[in-house]
Amino acid sequence: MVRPCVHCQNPLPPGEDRFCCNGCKAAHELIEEAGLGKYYDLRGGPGVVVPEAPKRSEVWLEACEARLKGSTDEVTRLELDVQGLHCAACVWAVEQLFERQEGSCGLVVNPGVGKLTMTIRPGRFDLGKFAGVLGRLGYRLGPSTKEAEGEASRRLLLRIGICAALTMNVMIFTFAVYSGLVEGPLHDLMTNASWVLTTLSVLVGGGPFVRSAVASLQQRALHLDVPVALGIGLAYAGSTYAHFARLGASYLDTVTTFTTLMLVGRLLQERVLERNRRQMLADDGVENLYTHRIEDGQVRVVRVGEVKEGDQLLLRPGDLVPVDARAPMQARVSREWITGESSPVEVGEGGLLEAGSFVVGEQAVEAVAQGGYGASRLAGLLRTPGEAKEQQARRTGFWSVLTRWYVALTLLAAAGAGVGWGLVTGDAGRTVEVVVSVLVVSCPCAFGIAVPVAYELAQGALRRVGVFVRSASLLDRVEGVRRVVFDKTGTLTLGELEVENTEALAGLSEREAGLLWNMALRSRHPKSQAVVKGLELRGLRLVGMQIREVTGKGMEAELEGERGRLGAPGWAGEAAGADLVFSLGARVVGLRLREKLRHDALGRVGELERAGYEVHLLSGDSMGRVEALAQRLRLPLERVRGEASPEDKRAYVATGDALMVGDGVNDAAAMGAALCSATPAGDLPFLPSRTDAYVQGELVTGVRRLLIVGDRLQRVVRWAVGFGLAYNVLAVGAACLGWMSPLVAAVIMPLSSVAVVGYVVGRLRKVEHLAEEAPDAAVALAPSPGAA
Amino acid sequence: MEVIFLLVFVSGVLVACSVGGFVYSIRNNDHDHSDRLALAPLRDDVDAPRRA
Repeated sequence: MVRPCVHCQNPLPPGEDRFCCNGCKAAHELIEEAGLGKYYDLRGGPGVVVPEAPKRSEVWLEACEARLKGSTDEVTRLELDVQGLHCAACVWAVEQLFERQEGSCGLVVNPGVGKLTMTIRPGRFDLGKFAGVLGRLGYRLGPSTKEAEGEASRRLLLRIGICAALTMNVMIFTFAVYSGLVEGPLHDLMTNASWVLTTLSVLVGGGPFVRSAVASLQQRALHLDVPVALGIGLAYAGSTYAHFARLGASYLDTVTTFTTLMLVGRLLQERVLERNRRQMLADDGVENLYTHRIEDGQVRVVRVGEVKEGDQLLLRPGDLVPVDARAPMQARVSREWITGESSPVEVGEGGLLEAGSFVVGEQAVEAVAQGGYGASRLAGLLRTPGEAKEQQARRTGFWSVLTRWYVALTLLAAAGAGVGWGLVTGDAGRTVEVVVSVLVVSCPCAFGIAVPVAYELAQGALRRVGVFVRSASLLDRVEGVRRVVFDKTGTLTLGELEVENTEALAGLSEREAGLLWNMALRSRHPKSQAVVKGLELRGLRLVGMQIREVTGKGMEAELEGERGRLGAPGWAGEAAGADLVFSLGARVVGLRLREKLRHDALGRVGELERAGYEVHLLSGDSMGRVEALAQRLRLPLERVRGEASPEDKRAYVATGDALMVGDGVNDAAAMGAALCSATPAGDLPFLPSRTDAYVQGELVTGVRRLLIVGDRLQRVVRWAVGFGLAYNVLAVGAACLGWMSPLVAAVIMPLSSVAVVGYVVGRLRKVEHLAEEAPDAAVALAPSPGAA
Repeated sequence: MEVIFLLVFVSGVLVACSVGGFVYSIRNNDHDHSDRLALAPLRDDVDAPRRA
């Protein structure tokens, strides 16, 4: 039986005995050290996976720390955005860690918005240390830029509060009438008060539906809000007529209740999306991107938007190159983010550092900006329209087709009943009663409430496991996914190397391993880092020795009269098929290196394939590397493409059936063209703010969960809508024939709503565990052959 | 009987006041803190040492 990770409970990879990855190890050690064992109790299960990610510098933090150092106040307040809060356990852990920091006075965590308001002693509180501690648990801090509750949902909340208060009072007044108060001044008072309050309720609550209905009619598209608005309007008109004509059949309480419930459904839809959007650090990350500029010999932290042509920049290891810049010295940069290449690139003296690269060498680089940020390639890559797809999905999606027919038929039935009863009976009161019955009994509660509840449950479930849905139509679109296209670096691999032939390291003596470790430790080259990690568990000691770096070749040292070398094959020694060679005297050891896979990539990619999805690999990296990875993942080579430009990627996924999973700005165009898109929640928020969903934690697992939950949701929604349609056919038929009074309709309508909402809740409760509870669930939910 | 008219009037005033209070609260973003306040019971058994 496979043992689970101590922190996240995911299966352990071969050779590991406690943790699935270094992120989980660091998180668990921190929890243990700080005595925060209650974190696991509060989560009611395993901890959140903390993915390993390359460390980038956070220049905003320096600007913030500089402000704190300059403060003369004894106590000050600092507001920061935080990313990664999932649940109560997260809030508790953040509060506990804050209280353990020196100089902390008070903390208010607002998990709804994703904000921390800290009261601290500026001279004693170490903000960088606190950010580092939170980072070990997967929470990232950023400058405070998020707005509080969105204006749309705030207005809806206001309308709901007012309508709910009015509805309760109308019900109280109406109760007297239902209880037998049929005439007299008190009856008049009660019914008049009900009418006034209902009028207010319709004016306040009906507005959003009327506006939306008018807008959809102007665009010549029938939207669900059309029957809702008509239902509210006609029921109100009918009840008003009945009230003033003293017909004795007024349904003012139904009108107010219906209006309030429709508003609640609308708020549920809006709120969950707004929250998911706010959980990232900032939608427009460019505003929070800083760099170092040299001015009169002084280094200043400035926003990248302020960088102009000719500015002297200081770029430290880990820094993003914000604009094209020329460096008068040699530099090593990673272009992974803009081209997908996983290997660092050496840029010679006077060479161009491209905007969007990261400095990965050991030394800071001084460079001269060749232009402003606005004209840079980076700014161009980040200008990706995201809303067009959303609009298109709304026009052509399942909902649009369904509502077009539903609305048309309902209105036709109501009009037919009105004309028929008017002509046959000539009784205006009876005709209004029948029309109101048709509209009340047919009002789309199943669609207006059950469907938003279903989406809220599905999005909430995904959110609990670290999948944040940003786009309203994503869960409709995932049903059409047949191909899952992964960019290689950052999504399936971690952008790091690891030693493939670990037996070669295990076969080294203590003396040899000690020298190798000491040489590798003194170099920041990715290949050396892979060796350091490979020897991590041997408990080797740092020894003072003369180690020389030979540029372009490797490291060289003397050990007890013998020469040791670690570096390029040929220079350090001959070993067939080796990427890196270690030699000590006559002993030569060849090391083969490969890209380190994300922890869940191997198993979950296979599961996606077995579930019927075609997994593709699309990368800007060299073909050889991409094919090597495909072989490890057992993917057929015809589904693999390397050296792909952003335009190639865009063309590859623009087939209407692809879910694009990428993490670089070079993937932005492809993400816009694909049916759906997802990205890991990294340290830079540009892409998450431009994709349909972002995943915190295990990426491939998150993608699989998204597909499974999306599929289950669509099945449940279809059933609910089918039930609603069947109910409507029967109920509207009965109402058209005059067999149903508005009162009976008002009773039956909420009963049908409760039934369908109950079904939806039952089927989607804890849907996030579907993948874990039934390993073959994905197979069962696979798209049927030919469904595309 | 007149007292009922008075009661209806008074209840109307109370509804108006409560709606006014609700609008004021929403405009001050009080509801933003509802999630945090829901977590307040977690703090009961916190006795971590403070070094401030």
